[in-house]
Amino acid sequence: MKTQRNIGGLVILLVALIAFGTSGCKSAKKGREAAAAKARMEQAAAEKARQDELARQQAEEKRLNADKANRELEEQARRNAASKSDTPTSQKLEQYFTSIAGSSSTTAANSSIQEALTMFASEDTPVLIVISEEGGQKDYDKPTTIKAYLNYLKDQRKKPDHISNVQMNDAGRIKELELLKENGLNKP
Amino acid sequence: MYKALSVFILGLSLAVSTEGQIVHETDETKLYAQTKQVNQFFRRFNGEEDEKGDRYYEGDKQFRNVKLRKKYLEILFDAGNGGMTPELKTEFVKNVLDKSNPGLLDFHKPDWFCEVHATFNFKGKHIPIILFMELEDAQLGSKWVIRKVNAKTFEDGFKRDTIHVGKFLHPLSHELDFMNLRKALLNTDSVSQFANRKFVPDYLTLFLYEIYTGNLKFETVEDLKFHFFQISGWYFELSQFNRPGYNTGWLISSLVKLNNEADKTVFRKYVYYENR
Amino acid sequence: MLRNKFLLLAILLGLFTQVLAQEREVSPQRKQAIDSLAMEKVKDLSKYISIIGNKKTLYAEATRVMDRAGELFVPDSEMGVSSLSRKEVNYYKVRKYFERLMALNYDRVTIEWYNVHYISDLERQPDGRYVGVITIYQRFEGTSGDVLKYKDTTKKDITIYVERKKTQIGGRIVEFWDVLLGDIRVTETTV
Repeated sequence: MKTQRNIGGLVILLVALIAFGTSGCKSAKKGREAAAAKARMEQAAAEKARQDELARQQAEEKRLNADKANRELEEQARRNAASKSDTPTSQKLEQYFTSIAGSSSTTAANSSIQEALTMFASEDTPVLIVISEEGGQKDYDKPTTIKAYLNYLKDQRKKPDHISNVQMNDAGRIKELELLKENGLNKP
Repeated sequence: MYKALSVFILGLSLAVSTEGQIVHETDETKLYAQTKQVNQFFRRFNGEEDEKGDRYYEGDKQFRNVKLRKKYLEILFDAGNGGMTPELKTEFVKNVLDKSNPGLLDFHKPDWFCEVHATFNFKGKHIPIILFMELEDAQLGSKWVIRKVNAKTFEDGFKRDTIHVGKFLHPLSHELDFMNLRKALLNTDSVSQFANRKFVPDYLTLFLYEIYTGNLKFETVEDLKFHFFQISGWYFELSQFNRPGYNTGWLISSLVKLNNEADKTVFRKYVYYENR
Repeated sequence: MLRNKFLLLAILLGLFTQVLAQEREVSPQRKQAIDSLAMEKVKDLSKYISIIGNKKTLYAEATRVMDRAGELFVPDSEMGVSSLSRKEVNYYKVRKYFERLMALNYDRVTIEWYNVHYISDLERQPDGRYVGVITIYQRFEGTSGDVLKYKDTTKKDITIYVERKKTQIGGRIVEFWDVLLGDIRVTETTV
């Protein structure tokens, strides 16, 4: 009798366990599914956030590059404007050249040379003279210094070469000068 | 004829004076007509420059143009040389202008060389020496080198009598250790008779050695001319004429037809003074 | 197999010769610019000679100009001078030639150019430098007061050396053509 009752209890217990267990599994399963779904959603959100951030960074980089390019263009334009032969510096220098080459006396020429040299960083400022240019490739005469070139103009008394490029230093003095030889082959 | 030809040579207007230049119209036509450098002779002969001396390059319409060459060839001969008959010159020009096989000169190819007549000081005496010079490829470019030397002073030291018996080292000289060499070599006038029959002195070696010892010193170049064997079947000599008129500068001063290779060899020896 | 090797060798040799031929010559366009530069150096020399030969030029100034003129030349350059009456060539170092010019007893020296010149092709030397010759004609007159003391017409054959060189300027490498004068043969001529 007692045994039968125990067995019965056990069966009831077993059935209950099974019933509860099943319903627990189902819940767990639902829970797991819910968790998985939540994880997927979080993952997706994270991915989106990552992509948004990347896009934002790229946009920012692009903006910065554009700004930099613009600044460089402006700088180049400013340098070009400074180096053109029709700038005040170039015009003044050209006047000195003409004056030195056409001086009435050695004394007058030497005086003009001393004045002209004040425009330069030093009397050893390099002077490059282009003899020809083709396809962007420049051919130069032997580089000289501004002092030597001015004395050359004084001695030879001939038409000076055309000023094509003037580079200035921070102190507003010429640090490099490029001339274009007047030989009928070059177009200023 | 040459004044008319110089009109062709000019074909341009003369410049006005600038910066101290003065134009002497008649003088300048003569200077244009003049073949001023050997380089210009090459270019005119080949039809590779215009009347002003500006180069024509391959691809230019006038480059080696037959008509252009013909006009140039007419003025490249020394007109005062009667030895070059009109018929000979005509035949030469015809050969040179042959369309299928034109005769062209090449600065870098062999078969042309220079004969330089110079004066040297040899142990206190002024002596003439002839240097034969030729171009040679060397490292990155080329250079002139001395090929042969001809000097009468040197020749005199190698004269020997090949007819009479004269002095000799007898056939048993070896048994006495050639002690008779001492007597044989005492007389410096006839030492070359003790050299073998085939001996031919090389004066270039002697020339270089005497310069090396300081016995021989260069003084000046008196004259020079060029010998050309580059045109197949022909030899010509090129000399410089500094005289008034239009027929001046570097001109063909001698022209010889060579019928075959044997002729060429013989004539080359003659040019080198080897069989004179 | 052997035939193929020979063929390959022949092709390579042909290519090598082509490269060598091309390396011998400067392109026509470059040659024109170099010719122009060389002519300018020759004209510069002529101007310097006029200054040196002018009695009005002070000694210090003439010496300075001789230095400038000397810089146009490669070291050890010489003048070889002959006349119609004397075929013998007299040789002078360039500096010595200038000093003799300065010592001439003329008040004024005039050098006039004929508008005719000839520039040879550039040929390569063993050291890789290019060499050429420029021929010019000049009329020389030496006057004292208003009296013409001496005149002659000369043909001058002037050696020019052309070399491609590099230098550093402003922190960068700059390539240039170095054109210098060399020996000069002076021959009196009848025109």
